[in-house]
Amino acid sequence: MKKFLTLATASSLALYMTACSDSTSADDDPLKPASVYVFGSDYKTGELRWVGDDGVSEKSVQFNQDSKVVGVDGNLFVLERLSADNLVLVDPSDNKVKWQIDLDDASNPSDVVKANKDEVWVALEGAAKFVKVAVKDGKITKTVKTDKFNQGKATTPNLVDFEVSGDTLFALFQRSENYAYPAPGLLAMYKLKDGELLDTIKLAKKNPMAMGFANGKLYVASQGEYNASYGTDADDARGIEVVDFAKKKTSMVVDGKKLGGGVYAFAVDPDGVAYAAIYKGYGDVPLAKVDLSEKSVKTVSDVSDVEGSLVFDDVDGVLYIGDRGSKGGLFSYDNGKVKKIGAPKDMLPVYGIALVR
Amino acid sequence: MLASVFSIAEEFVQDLGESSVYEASSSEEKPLQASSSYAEILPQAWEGRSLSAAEVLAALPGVQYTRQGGVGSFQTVSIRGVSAKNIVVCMDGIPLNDASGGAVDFGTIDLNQIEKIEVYKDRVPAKFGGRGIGGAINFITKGSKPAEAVLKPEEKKSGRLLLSYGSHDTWEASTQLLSRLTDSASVNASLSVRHSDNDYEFKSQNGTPYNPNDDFKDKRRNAEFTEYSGLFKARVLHANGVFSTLNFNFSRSEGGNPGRDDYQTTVAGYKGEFAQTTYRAELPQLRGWLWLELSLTGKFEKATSHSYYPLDHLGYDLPGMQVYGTAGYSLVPEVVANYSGDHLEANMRLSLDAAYYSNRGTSSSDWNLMRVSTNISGDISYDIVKNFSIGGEASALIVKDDLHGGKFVQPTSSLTLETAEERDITWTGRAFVRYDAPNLRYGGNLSFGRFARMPQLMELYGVYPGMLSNPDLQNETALRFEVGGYYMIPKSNTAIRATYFETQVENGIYWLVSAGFAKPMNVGESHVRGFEAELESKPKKWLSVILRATFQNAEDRSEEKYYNGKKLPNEPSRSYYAEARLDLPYRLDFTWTSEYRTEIFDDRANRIRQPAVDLHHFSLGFTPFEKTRLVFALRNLTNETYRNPYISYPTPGREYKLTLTQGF
Repeated sequence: MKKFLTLATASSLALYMTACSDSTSADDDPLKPASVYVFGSDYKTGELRWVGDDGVSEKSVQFNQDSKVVGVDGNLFVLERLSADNLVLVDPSDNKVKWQIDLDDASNPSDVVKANKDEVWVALEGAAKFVKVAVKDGKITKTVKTDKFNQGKATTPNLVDFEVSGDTLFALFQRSENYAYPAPGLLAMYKLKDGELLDTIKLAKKNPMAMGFANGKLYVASQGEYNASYGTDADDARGIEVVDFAKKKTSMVVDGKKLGGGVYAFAVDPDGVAYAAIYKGYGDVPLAKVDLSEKSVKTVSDVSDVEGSLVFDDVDGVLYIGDRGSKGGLFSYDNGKVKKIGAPKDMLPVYGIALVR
Repeated sequence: MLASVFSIAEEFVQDLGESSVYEASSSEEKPLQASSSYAEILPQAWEGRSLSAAEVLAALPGVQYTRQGGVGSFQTVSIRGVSAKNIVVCMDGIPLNDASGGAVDFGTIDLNQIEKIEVYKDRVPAKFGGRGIGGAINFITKGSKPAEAVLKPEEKKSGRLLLSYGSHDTWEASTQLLSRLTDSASVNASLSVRHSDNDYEFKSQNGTPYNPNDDFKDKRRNAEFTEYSGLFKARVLHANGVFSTLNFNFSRSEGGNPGRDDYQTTVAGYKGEFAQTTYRAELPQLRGWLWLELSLTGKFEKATSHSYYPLDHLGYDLPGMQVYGTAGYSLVPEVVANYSGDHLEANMRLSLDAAYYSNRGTSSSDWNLMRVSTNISGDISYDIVKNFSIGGEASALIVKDDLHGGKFVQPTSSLTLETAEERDITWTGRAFVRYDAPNLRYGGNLSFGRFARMPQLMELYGVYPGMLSNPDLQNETALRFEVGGYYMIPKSNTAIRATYFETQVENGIYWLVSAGFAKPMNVGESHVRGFEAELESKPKKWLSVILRATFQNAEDRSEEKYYNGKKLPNEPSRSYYAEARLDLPYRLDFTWTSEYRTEIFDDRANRIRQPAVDLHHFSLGFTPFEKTRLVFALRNLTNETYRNPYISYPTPGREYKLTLTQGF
C-alpha cells in the first residue's frame, strides 16, 4: 500500500505537470516539428521511409517484416519483432542504422520508452522480462523479470505497451495462454529509474492492446477475445477503460457495443480524445474517435482498414493513420479532415508510424 | 545428361501411368523432338551426381529450382515462370499435391526409386485438368520396363546394388531385383534408404545484417534426414490376352526442422509416410479398333510436424510437445479408351477420386473432410496431310467437398464452417497444330490453351493461428501459348530447339494479411513471356555437349500497386546450363556441368534480393567391369553459398559423393 500511495502521488504530480508522455512524443524540445517515419510491411519484408516536404520518401531502408518503430528523445528505434528479435537504432540525421543488437530468440520487442538520457526501457512481448538498453551502443544494462505475471502454463505475460509518467513506468500485460485469454489484462507500475515493481492493477477486460494518458488519466484499450470467425463482436467484453489509481481498479468508459468491436490500435490526444482502430473482422477496421469525457463515439470516414498504426502528435494536434486497405496509405487527420500523404507507388502497406523530435 | 534427357514429339504420350511399352533410351540414342516442351529424364542424369530431384529438373530450360537446405530439405521447382504450387506432380500418374496443400516437396522424393521423369512444360495433360496450370511432372517408379526389354533371352533375373557416401555423413543404399517367373510373368522389387546429417558449416549473421561484429561460423543442427522407400511390381500376361500390372510403392521420411540460421531448433521435425498401390488391366483390342485400360489406385499419405516449446521457438508457442498434421486416403478408379486409326487418334478417360482427410497430432479439435472428384477428359489428333496434324484436349473436373461436422481446423484453433461451398465445374482445353515426323530435319508446333487450378484444401478450409480459410475462393486460371521448332544436323548428331512461350495467369491465390490474420484471396495477376533455346550435340563418339538458355520476363500484374510491375518471386530474367561429357581412356568418363541464373527476388515486393548464382559441378566415372561402376562427384566446386541477409535457410557449400553401382 505504501508503494502504491507513493506511486499515485508521484504520478498525479507528474501528470499534471507534463500532461502526457507518449512513447513517440518529444522530451527535450517539445515545440520542434516532428520528423514522421513510416514503416511499411507486407508481412514478407519491411521498409522504413520518412516524410518530407514532398510526401513519403522515395528512399527506404530495409528491415525485417512487421517491425515496430518508436521515436524516443530524438532517436528512432526499429523493433524487429518475432523471428528476428532485434533492436535497431536509426540516426534520424542521415536515416542510417547506428547499431543493431540481437535480443533473445522469440523475445519479440514491443515498445521502447526513455529511462534516462542515456538509456531506454525495451518491452518484450515474447519473454518474461523487459530490459534496459544503453542508447550509445545497445548494450543491455538491466533486466527485470516479469514471469510472476505469466498466465497458467504460459511462458510470457505478453508485455505489449509501455507508458511513462513522471518517475513511473507503466507496463501493460495481455496475459494470454494457448492463444486464448483466460483472464483480464494486467497493468503494472515500476520505478522508471531501476525497474523496481511498485504495484499492479487488474484490468476489467481481456486482451488489452495499448494505453495512453489524457487529462491526467490513464486509459487502456482492449480488443477482447476473438469470435468464431476471428473477428470481434460489438459487445461489452472489450472497450476502453480508465484506471483509478486510488481505488486500484478500472471502469469502462466506452465498451465494444458503442465502438462496434474490439480495439486493435489506440492513440490518445492528451486533451481528452482517443482514436481507436476497431477490428471488426478481416479487412474491416474502421477508425473511431472517442470523446473520453462525453463517452461519445464517432466514426472517421475516408479510412477503412486502419490496422497500420495510429500515432497522435500532441504538439501539432495531428493524428497519423496507417490504412492498409486497397486504397490505403499514410493519412493525417487534422481539424476533422482526413488527408492522404503522397507516397511512392511501391511503398508497402503501412504497418507502423513514429514521430521523432 | 545428354540423351538421358530428351524430348519427343508425341503429344499424346501422356505416360502418366505405368506404360506397358517403354521407349528405351541410351547414350547412343539420337534425340528426336518437335519442341522442348516435353522431356524425359533418365537415371543417368542423377545417379552418382549428388543432385536432388529439383536440381535434376532445373537442368531443363525454363525450369528453376529453390532449396532450403541440404539432402531432404524443402525443394521446389517452377516451370516457365509459374510457381511450384501450380505444377501437378505425380507418382506413376497419381497426383501428390492434395493432402497437406502447398507445393510438393521434391526433397523427399528418392530418385533411387525412379526410372524416368516426364516433364510437361507447356500444359497440364487433360487427365489432370483443374489441378494445375504450370505444367506437370510425373515420376515413373522403377520396374516399368517389361522383363523382356531388360533381360537377355537366357537370363532369368538381374539386379543392382548402389552404395554411396558423401559430405555431411550422407549415404545411400539401394537394391533392385527383376525376376522373370515365367514367359508371361515377372516381378520387380526395390528397397532404398538414404540419410544425411546435413551438419554443414555456414556463416551466420546472427539475424543482424546491419551488425557485422556479431557474425560467426555455425554448424547446421537438427537437420538430419532419413528416408526408407521401396516398391514391388508384378506383371502378368494372362491367357485371355489381358495384361495385368500390380504396383505397390511406399516411402517413409523423417527429418529435423532446423529453423532459421539464427534460430536453430533442438527437437523440431517432421515425418512423412506415403503408400500407393495400383492394379491395372490392359484389355486386348476390341472390335479391331478399341483399346481399353482399367485401373484402380489406393493411396495413403500422412505428413506431420512437431516442435517442443520453449525448447524450439518455432511454430506455435504452446508448451510441451506439439504434433500437427494431416492424413489422407484416396481411391482412384479409372477407365481409359483409345482409338487409333490411319489419320485419327483419340483417347477418352473417366476417373473418380474419392479422398478422405483427417487431422493427426496433438490438437484437441478433430476434423475430417471428404472430397469426391470426377474427371472426364479426352484428346484427339488428326493428320491433315502427311506430317502435319491438328488436335486438342479438354477436361472437366467436378468436385464435391463434405465437411463432416462443419469443421476443418489446424492445429490449435478451430473454426466452424457451415458447409463446403458448392464448386463450379472446372474445365480446361487446349488446341495445337504440329509439323513433325521421325527423321525430319525440321519441325515445329504451336499450341494455345486454358488451364485452371482448383484451390487447395488448406486454402479453402484450413485454419491456423493467424490464418483464415476462404471457402469462396475461385479457381486460378491461365491462358498459355507456345510456338516452337527444331532443326537437326545429322552429320554432327546435333539438335537445335527453340520455343517461345507466353502465360497469362488470373485469379492467382495469395495470402493477404489484415490485423495479423492471413487469408487466401484471388488477387494475383501475372504475365510471363519467354524464350528457350537448347543445343544438344554429339559431334564425336567421345564427346557430347548440351547448351541451354532461358530468357523470360515474369511480371506481377496484380492490382496492388506495390507489386504491380515487379518480378515474380524466384524467377530470374535469364538462366543458362552447360554440360560436357567426355569418354576417356581406361574406362573413365568425365562430366562437367555449369549453371548460371541472374538475380532473383524472394518476395513479391522485390525487396529481398538473391544475387546471381554461378555453380559448377563435375563427376568422374570409372567402369572397370561391365556391371561395376564407380563415380566420384563434386557439387558446387567453388563453394558458393550466396546468402542474403533476409534468406534464413543456409544451404551447403561444396559437397562430394562417391557412388558404387554393382549389377548382378
